[in-house]
Amino acid sequence: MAVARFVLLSKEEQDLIHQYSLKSLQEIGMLIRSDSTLKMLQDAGAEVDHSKKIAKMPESMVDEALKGAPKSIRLCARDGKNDLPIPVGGPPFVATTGLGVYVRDMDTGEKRPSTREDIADFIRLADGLGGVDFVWTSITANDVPQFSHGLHELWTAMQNTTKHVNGVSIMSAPDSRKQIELASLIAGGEDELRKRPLFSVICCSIAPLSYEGGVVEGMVEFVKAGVPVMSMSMSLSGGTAPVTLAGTLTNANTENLASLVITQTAAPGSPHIYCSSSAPISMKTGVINYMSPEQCLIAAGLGQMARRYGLPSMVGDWGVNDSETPGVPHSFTETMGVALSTMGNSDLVSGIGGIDAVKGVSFEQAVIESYIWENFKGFMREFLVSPETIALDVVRQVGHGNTFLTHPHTAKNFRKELFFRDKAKLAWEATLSDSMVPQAKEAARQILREHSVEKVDGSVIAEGDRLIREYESAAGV
Amino acid sequence: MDEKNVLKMLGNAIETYDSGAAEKAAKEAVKSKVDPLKAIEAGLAPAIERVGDKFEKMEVYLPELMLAADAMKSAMTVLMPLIPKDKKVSKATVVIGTVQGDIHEIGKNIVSNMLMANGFDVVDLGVNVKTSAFVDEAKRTKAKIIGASALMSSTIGSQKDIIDYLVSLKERKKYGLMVGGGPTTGEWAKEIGADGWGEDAASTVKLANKLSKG
Repeated sequence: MAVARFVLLSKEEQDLIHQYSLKSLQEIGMLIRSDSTLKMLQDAGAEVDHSKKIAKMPESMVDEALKGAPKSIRLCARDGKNDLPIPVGGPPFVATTGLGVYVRDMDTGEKRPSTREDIADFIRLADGLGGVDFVWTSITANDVPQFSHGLHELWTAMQNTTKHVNGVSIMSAPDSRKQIELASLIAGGEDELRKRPLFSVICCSIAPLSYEGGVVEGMVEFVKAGVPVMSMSMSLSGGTAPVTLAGTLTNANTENLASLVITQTAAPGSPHIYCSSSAPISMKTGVINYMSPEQCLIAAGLGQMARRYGLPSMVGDWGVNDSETPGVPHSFTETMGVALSTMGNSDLVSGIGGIDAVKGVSFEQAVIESYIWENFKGFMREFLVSPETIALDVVRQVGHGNTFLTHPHTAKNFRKELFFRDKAKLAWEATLSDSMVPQAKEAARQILREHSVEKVDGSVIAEGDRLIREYESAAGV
Repeated sequence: MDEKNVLKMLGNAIETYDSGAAEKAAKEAVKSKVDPLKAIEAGLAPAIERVGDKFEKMEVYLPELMLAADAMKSAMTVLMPLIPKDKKVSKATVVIGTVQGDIHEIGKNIVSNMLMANGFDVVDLGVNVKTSAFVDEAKRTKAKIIGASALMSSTIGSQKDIIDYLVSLKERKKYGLMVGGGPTTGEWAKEIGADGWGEDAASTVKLANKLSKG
């Protein structure tokens, strides 16, 4: 099947990133703040310095992990119709944003800390939106104990959607065990959950090249129970990774390979999803700059690396904007970001409903972005290239210079071959309308006033003018 | 070397972000018998302020700002021990750290360095700092300001814990409390009753200046 896909790295560039990732794992290693994980890795062949908590992993461990990891995964949902088989052939599956800390209240328009009730509402909205394929738990429950907020978030999300739930909070091994118990209640037991994982969990390494103890131990519990994990690297160019994009790509790739070694050592063959949410830092504030074009490039490059390894991936941050209110204020940049991150080789992408660079959520934004995504899928549909679809027999029947419009082949196929937009919602795109015209007018005037072009010689111009007159008079014009 | 040239040399080292040159200039100040306090106040401080202004105007960015702060530290390491104790001037002591459960430190370190470069005594408690440790250390060092950084949506609640803890000790008013980090916002700071939100390193220095006077 043919599909629009954005290619960033050549085969040689991918090889180099892979080669240097192995070098990084072997020579620099990973700082892992968990004695039990270090011991597990040591027993499996890693070179461990327990006093520094550093594990160096040889190429053979990476090879074995890559060989044993599943190449396709089914992220399941309470309603089987919403299951997500990955990797995808066509467009990626898109999730809600996460993990925000506030809600832009729909009634008052005010910002306020998010609650468990907001999670219920936001997830229920997402469940009803056609453009949302699965949900992240999306916002923090600020009204429950800090100690157990992840449990409240997962439990609330699972009750309010029949789509797949992607958990974002992970604190410790006992916390993970409790999350597994909760999901098992809905799945009908732990064995059932293993067969049909109704939720998956993002487990973050901390760039550069380290793991917090609770998270890595929690990740091990999840994979032992067959819950798919997304090993998210947040490699921030210039902050937690080299500012060079090649360095950022390599750091994120290295952390993903390290996570893969950990999950496949703890539970060989367990479902593992290559994952990143990486972008440069703002050189002004030091905060992650999701709006940067580099974010899409990094995602596309990592998507290619995941495909090279045959691992399903979640490397795209979709539709991220830095506006504190709903809307599409950076219209060109945002739609370009949507295009490149969804065409950038990722199987799963998240971001619907987020505002203020993921700090907040907005219900209106979720509706707008669900529409954008439903609309954008038109650009990413798969189409078949075969002797039948090339339709040479139809060309023969229509003949030279005639129209295909009245041939039955057109009537039979146009609805499935061409994409039709929702007209009413198309009107929303007025965000790209005419408010920039006055400034464009001024820019045009300034260029016409100030810009000059090197003159063509006067005699050349005269000769050209004479040629045109001669041509016209020869034709009697 | 005369005093005027020494001060110029110190300033240049900061404005060219050169730690080696800053250390050399500081040693030259000592050799030339320039008053160390004057070397700081008339040589280094105006230069770091100029770098701060350029940063605000987006003529320079964080990498240059950080290197300037490093250069400042190199010169201060030479000069500070030579200033008599009774003459030492610090705007205030700031106890700073990343909250419990969170081990992100880059942002916190940027702020920590910038505060030091701008004349604060900084007690940096590192990462994964217990709520009580912020307060105990602030008491011990007679700090005026506590700065709590959190980089994860799942850990910013610990910033509120520090405030609640201070309230329970009836000591909330003794300290200016600044919060910062990726997921934090001005509204969040207000919501939990902090005294201010540090959006970036430069604005946090301004906030600390304000709190040190209050």
